[in-house]
Amino acid sequence: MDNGWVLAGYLVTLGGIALYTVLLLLRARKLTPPPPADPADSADSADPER
Amino acid sequence: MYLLYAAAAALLGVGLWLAVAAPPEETQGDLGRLLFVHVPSVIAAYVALGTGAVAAVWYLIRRSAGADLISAAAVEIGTVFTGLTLLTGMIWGRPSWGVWWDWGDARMMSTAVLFFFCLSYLALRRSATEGSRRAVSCAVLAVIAFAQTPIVHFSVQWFRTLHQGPTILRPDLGAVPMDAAYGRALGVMILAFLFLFGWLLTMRTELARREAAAEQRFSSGVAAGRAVTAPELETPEGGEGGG
Repeated sequence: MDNGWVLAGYLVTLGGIALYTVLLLLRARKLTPPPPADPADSADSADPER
Repeated sequence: MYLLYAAAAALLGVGLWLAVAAPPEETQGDLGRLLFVHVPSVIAAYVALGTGAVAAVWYLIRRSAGADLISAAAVEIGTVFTGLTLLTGMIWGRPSWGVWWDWGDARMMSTAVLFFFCLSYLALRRSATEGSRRAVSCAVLAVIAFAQTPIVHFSVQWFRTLHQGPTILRPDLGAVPMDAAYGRALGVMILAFLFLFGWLLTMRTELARREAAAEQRFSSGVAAGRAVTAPELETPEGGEGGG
């Protein structure tokens, strides 16, 4: 019976830290600026014959 | 940053192994093992809030934007660890005391008050818009929040309520009355949580810098009267409080 409480305590603690870490990583990913567009692609799309 | 992460992960692994290998506590049985996550959580919370207060004072003296970001990051992490302390305390309290919560207990109530101060800091961080005014208000609140940690820690000595007295970090600085197996596991877990705090602080501060830059771009875009696109609108509004 006690082991259930112990397991719950460890899951809450480690799970809480893991969840916070994942939220930080997701937020960091969202704030990372997109890579600059490839100039070759831009030139292609601007080509009227394509 | 990766060194901090590796050290935290390695120490956590060793700490968990020692926690499992330690014998059941004499009076509490296996429930005593909750000590290995509850105590490190609260010590990490003290250190995080202390870091937040030192950075806040540094900001108030030098008006350093970097100090403001570090303070915000540290208080946010301190809030997480304070919340985990409350949760693990409740999980221990239910089978040990028969109650999840005791409104008359000095340690529980002072920790809850500290937690609500931390939440109010995060709310203030998000609500106030003007940069330097927000930073000053938040810095003052970070110092007030940290000033409560001695009340939390010594509440068990000042008031005789349900929570037991301190085993470590005692004011008499006496030898810790703890079995070596428990002392080792607890020591390693405390160290692991401190490294975890260091890693999270590095990561959160970097994120706060990006948020501040995005907020700056957003503000200058509005000031210039140009259209603000959806991603730009999203960034400052959805911030985690560090920017």
